[in-house]
Amino acid sequence: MLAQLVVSGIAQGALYALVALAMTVVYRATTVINFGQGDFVMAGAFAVYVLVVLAGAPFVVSAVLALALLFGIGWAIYAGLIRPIVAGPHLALAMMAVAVGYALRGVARVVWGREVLPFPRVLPQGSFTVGPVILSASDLVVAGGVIVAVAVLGLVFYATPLGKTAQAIFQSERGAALIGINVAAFQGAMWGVAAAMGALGGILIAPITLLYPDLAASILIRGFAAMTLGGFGSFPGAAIGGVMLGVSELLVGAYVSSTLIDITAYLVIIGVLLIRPSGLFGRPIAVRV
Amino acid sequence: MRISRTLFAATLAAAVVAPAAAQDRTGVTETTIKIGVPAPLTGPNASFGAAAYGIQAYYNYVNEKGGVHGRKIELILADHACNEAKGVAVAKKLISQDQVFLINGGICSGVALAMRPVIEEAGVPWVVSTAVNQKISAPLAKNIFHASQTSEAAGHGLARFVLSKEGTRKIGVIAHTNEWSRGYRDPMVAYLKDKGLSPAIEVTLERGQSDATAQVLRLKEAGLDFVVAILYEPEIVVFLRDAHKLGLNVPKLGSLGADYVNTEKRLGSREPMQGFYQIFQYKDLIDGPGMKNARAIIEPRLPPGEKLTDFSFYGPGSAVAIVHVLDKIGRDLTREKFIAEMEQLKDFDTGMIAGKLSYSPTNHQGATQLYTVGYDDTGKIVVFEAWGKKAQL
Repeated sequence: MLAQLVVSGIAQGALYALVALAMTVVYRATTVINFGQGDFVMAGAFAVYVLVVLAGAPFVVSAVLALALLFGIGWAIYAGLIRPIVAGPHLALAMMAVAVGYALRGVARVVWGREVLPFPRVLPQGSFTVGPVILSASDLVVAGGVIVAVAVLGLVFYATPLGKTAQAIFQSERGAALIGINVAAFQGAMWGVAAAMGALGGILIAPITLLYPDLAASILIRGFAAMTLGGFGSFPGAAIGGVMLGVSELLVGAYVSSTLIDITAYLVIIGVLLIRPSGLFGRPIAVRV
Repeated sequence: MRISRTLFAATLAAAVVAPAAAQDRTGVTETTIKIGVPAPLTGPNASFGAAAYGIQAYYNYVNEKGGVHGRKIELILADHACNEAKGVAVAKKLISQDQVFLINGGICSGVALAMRPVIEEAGVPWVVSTAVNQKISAPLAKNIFHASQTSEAAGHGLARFVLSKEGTRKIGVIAHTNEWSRGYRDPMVAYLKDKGLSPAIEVTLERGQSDATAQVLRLKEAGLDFVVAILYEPEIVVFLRDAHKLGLNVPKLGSLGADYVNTEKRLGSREPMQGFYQIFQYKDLIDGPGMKNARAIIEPRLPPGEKLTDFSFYGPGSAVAIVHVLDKIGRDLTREKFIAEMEQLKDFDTGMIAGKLSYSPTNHQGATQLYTVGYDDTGKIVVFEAWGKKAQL
């Protein structure tokens, strides 16, 4: 049972990691925690649903279009709603992110509020046994997707000039602007990337959870918990935090009580903030005041 | 002397008020009867709003036929989004602002429970259509009637079906932890206790969870004969998917709260449905001959874009009973007469709800019959009376 729980927990945690990674992208670019990220996941999933089911487009084309669409939405949200208040307090930025998320959810509810839709079966079906563990093909796809996402983000942010740009903006937007970096464009692009990652998450999550406007509500808090556990701003931390949270939930559910699964994320947040506020891989940072 | 005066005043007041109270015609005009239907028309549980549109379709049908004794039904759909606070506000609005004659509906048990004190105090007749929690209509309130099977009846129905499979001793339960779920679970456990049994294991799967590995493995390890799943639509899919994946190959029985056919559509495959049954509240499958008339009434009168689902019929049965009672009363319609006539309703066939509705002054929970739906050995979805025994519909 233990091996199965760990493996299934990794697959589940990969979903949380994907949300945490996207939140980390925004955080590293703008120091804002995007509490609307869960709704980017939902919006991305619905975008694919509309393109595949209603417009009849091939899945791969739909997925690419959905990623592009969400990239645009993310950028537009930054340009129209975040940028004008970016000099304000963090609380206002966080509240704007929450409001944007709820607005996206509200739009989805207007159209699909009365439906729990089956998502197109885009992930490979079937499962196979490895020793005592049963693995589904979709688990492997999700976990693989997260590994690729971590690798790409790690490469971009740690081994390219783009990463240095991000670091410069993260440390001082004004300083970055003084040396010629187009801060607004960069931050807009990062919001776009995060939204596109949300779409990727939606494509991977919706086949498992079904498709409805509130599908990502519980994923968001788990993504945030993963980010907290891994350390704010750390990509490996977000990924490992997500996986650890996924495994913890299942172990707690199996060996302690299934009632606690739902609050594991909150317990993690409380524990980390009390014991190690910077998380496993984060570094203490000075926050703009 | 002072006491005598007080008594006199009280008697006088009662004498003045009593006749008015005895002839409460609020919401009734020469040409209309105003009926309020509180329902979740928006929000995450808006799919249950289909029951309200079914009610609306039935009243439209009645109006097309000329109404009841020359009065058309004026319906007010009121959205509470399955939210308790909104539900209370909606109940107050229907009673005080809209001044409805009666309330028909009650979808989402938690909301209906929150609405009960308001409606009970106002004395407005309330025929509950869909919310199942037995505490909505018990302890008995003079003006509240349940026209759908309560969760107590459903809980007993769950236990009866499980025990009808010979040799069933070890029963597991997977459920949400909310009031809706407890409404099924507690009567089921009480029924099992009467038979000398109790659940071997109980696990929870909360709303929004997308993985049931831990729960399924615990159920599997317990070596069960049967699993009862008291879960809403998205979570029943998660549970069945993981049960199939992890080889929990024992019969499973679901509560009301999900649509059997839609569950299969959402799973995208029939395989996880093998061995899964669900208790069933209608006379027949919605595409079966027993529901042909009901379908002919409801389907063409649904709002544009509204699809016919199981839930479309989870409401209009109560409207059928209401119209029958209104018809019986005649033109001289009062709330008191409505309540009295509801209490006289016996063995009434709604043409939709399984079994027949019967009320009395001491019993306002009129629907008790439940069936079970599932695949038979030939791979066809059928309605069962008990394990392996098809219902004679």
